[in-house]
Amino acid sequence: MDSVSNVLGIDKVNMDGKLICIEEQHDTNANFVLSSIISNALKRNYEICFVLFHNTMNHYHNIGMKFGYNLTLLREKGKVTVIEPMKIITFNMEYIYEQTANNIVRDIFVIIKTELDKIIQSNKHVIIIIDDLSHIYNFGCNLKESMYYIRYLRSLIECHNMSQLCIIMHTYKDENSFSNVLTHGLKYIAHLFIKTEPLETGYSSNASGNITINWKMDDVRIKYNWPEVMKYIYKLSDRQVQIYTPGTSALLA
Amino acid sequence: MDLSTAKGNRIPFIPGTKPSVKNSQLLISTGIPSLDHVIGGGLPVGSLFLIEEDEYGTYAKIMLQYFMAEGVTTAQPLLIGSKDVKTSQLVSDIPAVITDTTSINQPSNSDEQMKIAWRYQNMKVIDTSPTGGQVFGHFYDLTKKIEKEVIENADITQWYDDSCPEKNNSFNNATYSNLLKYIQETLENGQYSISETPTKRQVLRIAIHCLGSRLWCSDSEDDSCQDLLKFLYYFRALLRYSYAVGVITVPTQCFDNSNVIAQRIEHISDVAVRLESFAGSQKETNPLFKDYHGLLHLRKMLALNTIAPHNPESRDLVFKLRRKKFVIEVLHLPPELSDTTQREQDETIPQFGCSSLPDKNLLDF
Repeated sequence: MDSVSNVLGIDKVNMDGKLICIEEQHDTNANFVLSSIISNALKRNYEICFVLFHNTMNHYHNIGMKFGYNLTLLREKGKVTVIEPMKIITFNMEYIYEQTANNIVRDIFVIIKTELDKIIQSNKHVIIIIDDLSHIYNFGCNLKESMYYIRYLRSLIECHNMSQLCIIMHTYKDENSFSNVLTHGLKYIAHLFIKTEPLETGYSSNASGNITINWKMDDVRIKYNWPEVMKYIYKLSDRQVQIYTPGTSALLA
Repeated sequence: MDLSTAKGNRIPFIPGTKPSVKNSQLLISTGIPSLDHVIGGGLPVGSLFLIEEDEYGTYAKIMLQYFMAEGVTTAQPLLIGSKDVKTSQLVSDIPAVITDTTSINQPSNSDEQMKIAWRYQNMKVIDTSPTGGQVFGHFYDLTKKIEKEVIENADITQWYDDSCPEKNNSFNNATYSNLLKYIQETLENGQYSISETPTKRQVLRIAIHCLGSRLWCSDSEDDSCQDLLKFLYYFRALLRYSYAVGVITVPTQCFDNSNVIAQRIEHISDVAVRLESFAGSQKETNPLFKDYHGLLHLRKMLALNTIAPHNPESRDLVFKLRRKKFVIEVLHLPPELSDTTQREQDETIPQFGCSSLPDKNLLDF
């Protein structure tokens, strides 16, 4: 996972108060980007606050075990906070039948805020990871409400300058779909924008997809001499990720 | 499934399941051993399997019935939901299990004597045999229906609704919330939730036939899509925290896919396959496909507890339906059996010029 962090550049830059946006295009899986962000945060001794709309905590725990960190243990120690909207609705089904849809989304925000306040009080660095914010559509949010939601989240980290935010969005081939429009908005305000795309030629046994890294802070780019847009090819396997520049093979990289 | 919150950390033993060491999951069979193999061993407990229906929905329905039949054979409880077909009909049509396995797993004895094309001998064939002596997945005879008393003894819950759709405050079509409520209650009453500790742990199989068809629609296309996605998301959430597996068939052919609804459904599900049957299409007469009934497209592969989705050996898959077996195979070119003339050209000496050959060709001048 260190190699991925290195390629992304997140191991060099201090991301406090910044927003990372990951666009996961359909037919790709951006979990590897997320796990490199997690392992980087743990290396820097940050607190992590998970907001999991798409996968369960167990999923990330099992991934973590393969890359050398135990999230369940860290959770018991209080280093990792987990907010699982799916669990909230499963054990409180009246959310679906009785209240209007927006309440659950609001409730989740309130939970995020209280959890964040708790961590901030102890004066620690924290990263909030939101796995697939595009699911708030499934809670009945329209585009306007979702944009406001992102603004709330953003102001939350602007207030606490020791916190950072990482949002995953799943997008489709349709430019007008809810999540694509929302991602466009997010891309504009993000400091680091990462995109995973499927291969145009279909499936390959040697590569899983393309990854595009776009640093939107000029001073960081000039300091490390990074181009505006970096493109790589990645290959996923169970316990490792290989990243190489287009045109080279994994062995040469 | 979120095992971390389950009482007791060890994966419990449940009949009809097998543990997968690779990603610490508990798998159940789809009822089609070759499909199990393609998707990486079976369906993990807590996952949602999406079958995008073929044009007439025939094969998707058969796949669903296999899933149900496997549940009955392994004595797992079953929940069936449909709005298009009467569920009693679906239940009574469940195929009977073949107990005599020798007839199916009979090795083709021609292997030893005949060796054609030695260079193909290392090609992988999809192994449909059960792993390690333990029986996982059965074969079913479509010509025989399951006996009535077996059905009566099996734990089958049915949800069938032919009412006229109304609107309520959570869904534009209240049918969705009825079904969701029904599933939730079944899960609650059967103590399938991971936070419960029943005396006998079981995995509930939930099969929903033809979800999102015209009967599930509401006033506008947008409303219908939103309903379907919302339902599936809640369904996914319910499954994740229960000992249950969901299999749904969705007639994606019927959707106007301009709003990428099919892809959105795939995103919510864990494994997705699309069936493309040759019936009524031009491919029916294509000699390449003459042995098969349709193509199986892998739309999404399982990526639970791992960063890399399962990668099957081949993605060019076809299915064929035999009386006693529904098989998924890797697409191969059929053997060339007709008299070929392709080698004749080797015998003629290449000649340059216009008409130097003695044997006259029509085109020569």
